[in-house]
Amino acid sequence: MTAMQRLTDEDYQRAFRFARSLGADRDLALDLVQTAVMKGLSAGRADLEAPLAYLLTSVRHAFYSELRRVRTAAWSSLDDLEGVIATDLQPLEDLVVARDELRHAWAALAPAEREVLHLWAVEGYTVEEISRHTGTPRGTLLARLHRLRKRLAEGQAERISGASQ
Amino acid sequence: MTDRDSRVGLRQGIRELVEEERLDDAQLARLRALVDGRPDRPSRRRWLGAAAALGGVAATGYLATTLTGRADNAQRMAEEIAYNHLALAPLDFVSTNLDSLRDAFAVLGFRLLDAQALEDVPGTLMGGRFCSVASVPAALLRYRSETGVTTVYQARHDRRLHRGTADMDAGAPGVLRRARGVEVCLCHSQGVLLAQAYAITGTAS
Repeated sequence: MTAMQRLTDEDYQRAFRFARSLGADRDLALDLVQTAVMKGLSAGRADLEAPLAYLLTSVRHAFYSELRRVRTAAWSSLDDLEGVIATDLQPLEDLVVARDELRHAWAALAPAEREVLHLWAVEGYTVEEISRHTGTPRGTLLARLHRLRKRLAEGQAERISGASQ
Repeated sequence: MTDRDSRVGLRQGIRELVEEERLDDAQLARLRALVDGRPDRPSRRRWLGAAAALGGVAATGYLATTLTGRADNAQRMAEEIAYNHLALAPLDFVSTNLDSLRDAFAVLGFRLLDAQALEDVPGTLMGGRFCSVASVPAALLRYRSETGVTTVYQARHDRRLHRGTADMDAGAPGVLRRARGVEVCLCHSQGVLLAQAYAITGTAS
């Protein structure tokens, strides 16, 4: 049995959900997973020790490589980061949100923001793992998450404000 | 739902949102077939290897065009249909009678066309299963003849999702595409997408 044959239906679902969180529409998300599987099946990938991790990474690379062709994948402006002193993800753990507001906020996030939240909430990654996976320095990551948390916490006010403009 | 019920921890809320996204059975079957088909069918290694090697090029072109809306949609559908054709997944309904299959697939919202009459599909009807073409729910009908298996896909024609297929009612010849050793003929008639897939060699797939 090859490494890729060890993938389960749930693994495929996880990769698909990750692609969706990145911002791919359903067709593109499926294609990203298929492309990752094809790469995994190719010669030299038969001895993969962690096919799911490979699948997620491959999906990520394929998504961003194409996204860069169309537009820059960016976090929101970091201009107002003064005073950020977060050292871990506890502020995120403590945040309670309204489901409706979260749905609106989720759709409005940049792909890179959804990716980090997905890795944290769904895949259970630590700050260090997210940092390694995304190639983002830990401090930068925490600063961005601090601002993201602030936006999510203020989501309702922002949405109302946005609707009235 | 109370206000208390509508609030949730961020982690749990994100999990709930994300878990709404699911591959459907046909999509999962396609991925399983992609992986399982390789060792079981050594004869396919050549094209599978080539496909993997070309993955970067093909995927780059495809993904870019998907994002920008300029894909060769017919080729994309042919790839999807070829996957399903080669997978030979179990039939949901076993019947040689088209009328009984029409009843079975009525939930798709259209009446199955008689592909044998319209496109001279060879062989005997074996049955059908639910699938999808370009994310549109579809019926897969399988025919078997002495020369091999032919599968016919029918779905409600969607001008956007099924763009690039021939308008049979206007007299246009079917659009032919090749993918994974399979030739796929794509057209639409009477509001129904009609796609026929068969091995290029004419041998059983």
